Amino acid sequence: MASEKEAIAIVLDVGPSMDSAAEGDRTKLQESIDCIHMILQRKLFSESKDEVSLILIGSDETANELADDDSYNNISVARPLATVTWPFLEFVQNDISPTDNETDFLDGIVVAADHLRSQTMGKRGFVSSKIILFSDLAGPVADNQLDAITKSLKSADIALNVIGVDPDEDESDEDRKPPQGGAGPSTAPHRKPKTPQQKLGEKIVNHILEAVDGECYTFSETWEFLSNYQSKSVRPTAWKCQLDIAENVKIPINAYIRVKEAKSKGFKTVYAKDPESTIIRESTHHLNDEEETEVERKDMVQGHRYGSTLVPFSDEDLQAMKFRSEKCFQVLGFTSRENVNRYMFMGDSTMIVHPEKGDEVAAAALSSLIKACQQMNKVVIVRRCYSASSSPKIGVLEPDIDEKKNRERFFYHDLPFAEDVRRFTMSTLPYSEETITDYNDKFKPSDDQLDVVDGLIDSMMLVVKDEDGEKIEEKKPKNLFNPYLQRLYHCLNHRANDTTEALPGPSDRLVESLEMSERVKEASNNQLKKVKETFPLKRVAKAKGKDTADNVFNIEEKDAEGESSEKKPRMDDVELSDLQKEKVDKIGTVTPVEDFLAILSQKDRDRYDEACEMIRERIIQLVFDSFGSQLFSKAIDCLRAYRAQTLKHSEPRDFNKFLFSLKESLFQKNKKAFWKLMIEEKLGLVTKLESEESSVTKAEGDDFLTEVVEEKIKEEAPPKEDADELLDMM
Amino acid sequence: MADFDWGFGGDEDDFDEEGGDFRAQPVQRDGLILLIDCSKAMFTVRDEGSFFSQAINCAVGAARNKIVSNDRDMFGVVFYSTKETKNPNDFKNISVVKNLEQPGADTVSDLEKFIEDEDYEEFKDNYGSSDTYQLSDAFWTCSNLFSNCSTKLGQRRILLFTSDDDPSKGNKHFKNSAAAKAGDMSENKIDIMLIPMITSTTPFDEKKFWKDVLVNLTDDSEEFIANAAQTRRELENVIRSKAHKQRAQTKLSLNLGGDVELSVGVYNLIRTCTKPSAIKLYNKTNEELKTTRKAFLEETGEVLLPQDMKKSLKFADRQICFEPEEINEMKRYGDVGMFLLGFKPMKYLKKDYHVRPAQFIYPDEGGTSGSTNLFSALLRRCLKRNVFALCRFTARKNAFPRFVALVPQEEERDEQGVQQVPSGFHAIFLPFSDDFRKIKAVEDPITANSDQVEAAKQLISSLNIPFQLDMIENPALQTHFANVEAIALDRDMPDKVTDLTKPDVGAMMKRASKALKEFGDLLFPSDYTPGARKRGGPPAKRPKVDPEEMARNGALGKLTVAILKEICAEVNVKPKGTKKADIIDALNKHFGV
Repeated sequence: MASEKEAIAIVLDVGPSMDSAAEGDRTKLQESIDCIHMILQRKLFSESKDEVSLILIGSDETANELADDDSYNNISVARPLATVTWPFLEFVQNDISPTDNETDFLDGIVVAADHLRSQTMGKRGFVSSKIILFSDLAGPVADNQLDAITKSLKSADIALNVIGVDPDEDESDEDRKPPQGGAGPSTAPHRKPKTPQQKLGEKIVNHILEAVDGECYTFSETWEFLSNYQSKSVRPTAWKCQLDIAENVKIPINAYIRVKEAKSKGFKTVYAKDPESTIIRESTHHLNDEEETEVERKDMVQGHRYGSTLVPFSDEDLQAMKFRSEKCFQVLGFTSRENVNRYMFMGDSTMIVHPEKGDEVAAAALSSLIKACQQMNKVVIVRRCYSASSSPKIGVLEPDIDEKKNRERFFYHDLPFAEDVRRFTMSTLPYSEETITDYNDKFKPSDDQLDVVDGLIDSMMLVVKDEDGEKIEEKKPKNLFNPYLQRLYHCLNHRANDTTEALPGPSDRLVESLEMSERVKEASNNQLKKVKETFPLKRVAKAKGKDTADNVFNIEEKDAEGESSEKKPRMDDVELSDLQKEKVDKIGTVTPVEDFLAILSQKDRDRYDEACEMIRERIIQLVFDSFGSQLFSKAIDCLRAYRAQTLKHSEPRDFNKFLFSLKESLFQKNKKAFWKLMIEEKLGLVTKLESEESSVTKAEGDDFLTEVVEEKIKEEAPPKEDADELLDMM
Repeated sequence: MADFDWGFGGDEDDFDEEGGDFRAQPVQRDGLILLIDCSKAMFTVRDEGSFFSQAINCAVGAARNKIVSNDRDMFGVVFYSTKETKNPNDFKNISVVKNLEQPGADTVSDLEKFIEDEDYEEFKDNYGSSDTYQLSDAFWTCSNLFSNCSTKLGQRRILLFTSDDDPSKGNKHFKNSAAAKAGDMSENKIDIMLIPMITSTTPFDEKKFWKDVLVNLTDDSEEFIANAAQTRRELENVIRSKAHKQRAQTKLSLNLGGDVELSVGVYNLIRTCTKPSAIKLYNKTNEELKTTRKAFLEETGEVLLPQDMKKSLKFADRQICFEPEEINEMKRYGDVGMFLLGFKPMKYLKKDYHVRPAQFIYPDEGGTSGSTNLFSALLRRCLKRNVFALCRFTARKNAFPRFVALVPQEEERDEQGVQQVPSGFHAIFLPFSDDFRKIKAVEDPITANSDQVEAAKQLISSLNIPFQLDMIENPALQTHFANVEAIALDRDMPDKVTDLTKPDVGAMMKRASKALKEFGDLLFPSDYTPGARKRGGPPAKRPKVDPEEMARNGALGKLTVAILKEICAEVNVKPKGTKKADIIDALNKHFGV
């Protein structure tokens, strides 16, 4: 099936009047080129099938099929009708310059209409055509053919949009709303008055627009709705099925996806040095032995885990056990609307259910159900199976009736299965007088606090009335674009032109859409101060991600200070330490070794000494609190870990000091069993052989680790304060 | 590429399909020990089986549940008040029945043996009941199991099953030492959750003993003595909800503007539970195989490392390349957290705004003290004024911001007072402009007249059902696990799985036969066949062709791919690819053209 596409002829006036300033200090031609460039980009990135041509009026050369010696001169078809390509974009960006030729814009329209006609004739798929004229209408114009031109545009069903007309200075602008909400056109205060020629041109254009579809726009109006990139549009396809109620009621329906996240085209991984070369990916399977022996496909069998048990499945098993179902849409029953809340919705989309196209019986039946549900405040619980090869889902049909638009429909959403629900029990918050308990009383907001929050809500309402009492909704989802896609398209365009330069940051418009609006910011400023005064908030620990966020994301501030990106930590650096950093602040008795290592692995600050002190404390506690030898093995583990770290950090002094005092205490307190263990495990002093920093010789070390030689200990005993310290710890 | 993860924790999409770059992602593994009282009182025969058998049933259920939903978690079972002493530290009357390990088929089958017969032979032969023990010793044993566990554990939790509301019998030392040990464990972040075993006739007064022993365990958001469950089903529900600690998906700040920030935890009340993916086994030994992936250049065979590769998109025949880090950069905007943008009346949250399952937020005093106070005030006023808060929400470093509606939620409890939905805010994800699809409205819609609507109302009334969140199990998932379990436990037949998603047509016909008939009579003409209009006769038959002759004439190209495939099947030819040219090639070869 040929897709539906549009033929668009862009007519650009490059004559002398376009070389004058439009708004600000940019010329009208530059403004036009920007708009055209954006139109083309949107087509390109949305992979639109629409075909676009570019016709220049006022060009030095003449290149069109209607031209002869005295008519249609200085008009050239710069790009014939075709889908948008990169060279087309580059042409628009680089190869258009103003000329001194004044040309009749009506001639341009005629050439464009003729071009559209000849290029679409006999081709399939075109459902509409349109001319977009970029001109300030300041050139000479002959209106003797006007009626004929209007007539032929109308009969060929070609729409006309004119962009670049200055806003009227005398007439009020009220009945012309910008194409998409938000700020209206910015009217430059010192605009040049319109020439009689321009006024005539506008009259002519308005005359045409009375007959054909289209509109006049200023540049700023145009930019308003062009500046968001467009995602690839998805042609809705119906999921056709029958809504079954018990055995005998079957209503043919067409369901469409109404809302689903638009994603970018999938990235392909390519070889950096030569993106065009083919990359082969291969996976191989290996035994977990020393040689990592590769296993061939025929020697493999599929399996599933049952906890620690591995369960092999033969092909027959798989076949026999496959869950089977068939395509269906069946009513399980009707339930009160309150039983189904939107936080329960699963899946990634909203579907709309319409009756089967053209089936009046189905339409009446579905309509009766929608209306009855709406009136009784019910929803329908259904079983839905997309196809015979997919597993069944349960879902809910919710009526949606808009009488003004004469529209009735069901919305469909998936619902969770029992397995998907995780019961979380959380303490009741004091959100009403009835919910205050002994436990949460201390969090209860006071009347003053509630008033402040009320004030905050008032000041931050996003639905406000304008002067005419019309409600205006700020930050409406339909006006908010996916920020990642917007930046991606922006960067794609950037990178397509220049492969080396750094990527551009988010556009002002994007930032504006993501931030609190200036109006709200201003209105809420005082209320926020009050919140700060009435609610004592104190940061206890840095929220996860916060510290990194400060460094990584605050692009604007950093750039302003000129110390931009180099300080940004790479993502990888943060991750592991982040995970470990969490919570481990002390060495406990349960997993002391892990805690010890976790603290040491915290890269953000050096806690080696602190950690060693804690592990020493823990070892002593484990040894001397232990009933019998119960906790000795754990203490040995700690000692071993401590020793290993000592070697790693080449700081053996503290360790050796500790060992001397430990040995002494062991003998004093009759924990010789532990000493024996230390000998068995060879957990002795760190000697010179092991670490250059050590002052202990090999012989001394060997001596130390023997049963009892008390004099020797005394000789090399640590300074007295350390021994005291140790006793304090105990 | 999903940006969120409702699955099994971890940010998998950070490493997407990058060849070779499979860094080990630390996944948190939890430990759960079931500590079961085996004193004689637990064996008293009751209607629903003895408390002991109920506890074992719970243990089996918990083990299976772990296997199904978190199979990397560690699971252990300890009996106390046993005649025998079976533990590494020789604490009297304590028996470690299952060491803290990843549970498997034998965990389930060994536990099931305890309740195979009514005389509990297995138990009596190996353990037996006694009435002397030290509770502190039982705690010590569990604590040692946790610390000797070979893997680093995330959450550590003990579920304690007993019917005895005062095991100390007035012995101060018994109580104090238990309380001291419990306090010690709490400091080490081991939770003890008491599951009281009761019937309607045996009251359980937790104030007598347990409240004092577990006094230090009152976490901010959880109670450590479970609501007493009287029926088996209630008990199973309690176990299900208590077997894992409620863990926030992430904790972050909610910024109200300027520098006014509170801290919240983000939770997934609902997440899609998916079938675990299959693994590859060596058919001779059933051992698991490791998979290695590599990428290399076709031309030179050069093996490529991640840094040799870039990400590319193709538009209008032009490849545009980025470094992976540049793609992350494009996603990043602002800090991680929620940023308030304003408030809107609830009716501005349109019914069709849905792109992914919602999350839930609850204040986190641990992040910012005072959060609960401000959060409660916001909740209270939003509920009262029927408004939602619109926020920008960045969940992770490399996730792009989305807009969420924070919808206030009151606490909901069932008739027994068990909390069904906690109080807090749901974060409903809003679609972007890009996400709406244009769907043509129905032309000249036909709407039902009041008689027809009346008939529909009758039908609806007669087919009224309750709906609860945990009512319907996923039949595909249940079937899968029943099958795996049957093979693992060497059972003849898998447990029968009832497909609860299927409508009970029989019951519906019974309840609504009159309403169904009236509805049918009024809305469907007698000659109406659903779906028949469209088709207009049987599907077009394949034109009679002689493929061989067509191949000789070079005319195969005229046939559609579907027909070509059918021909291939008939003549038993397997084409190299699915492209038309491949199929024609194969057929030509087959016919020797």
